[in-house]
Amino acid sequence: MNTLPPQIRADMALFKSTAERWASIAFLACLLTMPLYASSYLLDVVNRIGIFVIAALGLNILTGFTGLISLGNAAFMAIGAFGATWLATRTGLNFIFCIPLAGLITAGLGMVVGIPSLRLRGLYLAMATLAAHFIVEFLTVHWESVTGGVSGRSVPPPSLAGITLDDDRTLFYLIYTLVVLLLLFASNLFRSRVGRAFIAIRDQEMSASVMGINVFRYKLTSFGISSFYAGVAGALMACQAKIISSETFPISIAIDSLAMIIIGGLGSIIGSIFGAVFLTVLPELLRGATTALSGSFPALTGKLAALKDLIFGMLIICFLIFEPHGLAAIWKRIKRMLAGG
Amino acid sequence: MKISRIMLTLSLLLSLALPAMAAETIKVGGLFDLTGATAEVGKPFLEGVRDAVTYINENGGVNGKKIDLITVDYGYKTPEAVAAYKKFVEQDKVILIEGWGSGDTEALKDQVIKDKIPYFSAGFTAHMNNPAKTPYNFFVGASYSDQVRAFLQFVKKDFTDKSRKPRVAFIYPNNGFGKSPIEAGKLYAKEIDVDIVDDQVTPATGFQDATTQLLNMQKQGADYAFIQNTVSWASIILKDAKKLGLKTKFFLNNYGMTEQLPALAKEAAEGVYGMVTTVPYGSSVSGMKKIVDWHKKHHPGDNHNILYVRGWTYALTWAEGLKIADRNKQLNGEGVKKAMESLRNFDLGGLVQPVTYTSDDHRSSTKSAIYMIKGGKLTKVEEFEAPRKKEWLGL
Repeated sequence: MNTLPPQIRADMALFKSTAERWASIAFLACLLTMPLYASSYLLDVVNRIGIFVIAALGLNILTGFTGLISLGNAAFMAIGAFGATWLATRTGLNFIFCIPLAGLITAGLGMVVGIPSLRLRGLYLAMATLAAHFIVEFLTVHWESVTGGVSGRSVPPPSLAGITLDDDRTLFYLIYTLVVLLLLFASNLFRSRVGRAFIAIRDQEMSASVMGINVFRYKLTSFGISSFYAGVAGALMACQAKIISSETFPISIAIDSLAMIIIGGLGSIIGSIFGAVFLTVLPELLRGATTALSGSFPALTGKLAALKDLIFGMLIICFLIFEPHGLAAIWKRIKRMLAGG
Repeated sequence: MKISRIMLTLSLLLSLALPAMAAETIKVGGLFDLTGATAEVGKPFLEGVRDAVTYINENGGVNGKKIDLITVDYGYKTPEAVAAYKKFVEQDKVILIEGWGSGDTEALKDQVIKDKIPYFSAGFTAHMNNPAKTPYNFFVGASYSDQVRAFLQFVKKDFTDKSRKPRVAFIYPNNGFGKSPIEAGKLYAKEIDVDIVDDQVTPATGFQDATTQLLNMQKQGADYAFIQNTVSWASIILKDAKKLGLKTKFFLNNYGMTEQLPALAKEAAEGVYGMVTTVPYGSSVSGMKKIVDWHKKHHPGDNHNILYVRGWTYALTWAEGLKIADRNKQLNGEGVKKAMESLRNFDLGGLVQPVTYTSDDHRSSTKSAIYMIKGGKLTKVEEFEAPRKKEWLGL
């Protein structure tokens, strides 16, 4: 690495400037102190953001960076959640170890789902992943010995060094440790040969294979890594919700994940973060506003609730019309403005 | 975005000012489904609760104090209900929660014990009426299990052929709501010599056709069938049954037997029976007058139905508990729970069966009325009371 010319080293750097590095560290420090003063409600929202950052990151690796459209994110999260819970209740293993193990199980199954990608492209592949979703949904309802069927299962809380992580404050540290680790891994992935192969496959599959990239092998790897992320996110969701059932991972979660990476920015790591934050915080803000307004104008409650959904949809549409490259592109522009003066 | 920020600032300022007003208002958290999968029944329920609360506040409130109902639409998405709950407990400091469906109720049932907050739900699953397991959960009306038991009592009375036992089938969706009374129903049927000949399961996420299930049921020769589903799905089953010319007598539960049934199922609804816990809107019972008067004054253009009346019965019931807790100077979650458990045959003027809760038994009533659709209208047939057995708590 140190033998590379300075221009290339600068290009490959994780932080593009010292300012960026210090800003990131400062932000991280603020984040770490959050559980000390934030309310349980705020922590609940922040924890859910963290879980969806991981899920969105996983989907972005598959769809944004490798170009494989997938509607299977909810299914993979479900496999992670039920896999981890089953492992913990069956073997008595501390849930904290079940999380990465569930991630690995999901990665394996994700690669199985990825096999059709050898022959299918674009929307046809999306349909195959949609089929995977319905199969997993069916299994969560009927495979009662593992999933508890419609009554669901309660999730044994993880424990670390004797402390049980069962409230929002302690879970915050677990979730955000994983968020940081998985973010670093993803950033490094795209500075490495594997990540660049993914991007090459997305941009021009034919040229990539001519260049010597084993397209099928890398597509499967992409499915594997992406599903690992989704599985970990699902296991964390199980921790946070404490009860999971066949109704916890409907298709709307897969659609939300897709919306997150489109609004945040396809093929952008920071875009995944923005998308997850936006799509988790916006409904909460809208709900808070409608609740406050309903308090003052009770007769309008029903209409305000419908309005909330309308506003949500319109914001997303406006977004896609005026900034199709997502929040990440807006962020880049802001940074350029600040740097340029 | 600017408007919502202004509104947020305003509501923040309001919430800062509210502690000063805390002495005069009682905070109740409300989780409703106005935009999600059950919005069709969730919306009229909210309207009933909200109107009843306004009515109570205008007529003396809770011993002079006003009820502040904080309405949240969680769209039938459980994580959002859990987040709203946390806000209710930490920020708003509610002392009672009006919940809605099985998703949110199940997810929060252990948390409300820790936080000591009584939780009313509009789901009638018997799993929530055993205080040994769920001491802070309540609902107003006979459980689905007791409704099925009442149905089986009717079957026993109605079936006149002495040569054999009556044959009954259950039709239900594959989810918690659907499966709720089935085990209890089968146990009781065995006890009173009724044959359960068939179980037909419909998809939980929705369906357009139930012909397969009905043909299978026909092979078993069921004389009666109980449909444990809400009105729109039940209508599809009834229409298909009519097309097939089935002779089976169909029964619905208290979410199936509403004024929408004749409108949705048209001729297929004629002659169909159903369990009723809250009376239809406009029934001639003493408690209905205030609701009809309210409607004439505030909602003259709207159509109201059983769900609207149900909302009223819930608000009236927990408001009574709040009044008792306030008189005992125990206006907190635990005090309200004790107050609810002191209710003995609390009379709501016939809107719903009189409500009794005790610290060992949260079954408000085991009686339900059987109605029939005659000439497109809900007509009362008879009332049946399921036995109140201790071993059936929670079943």
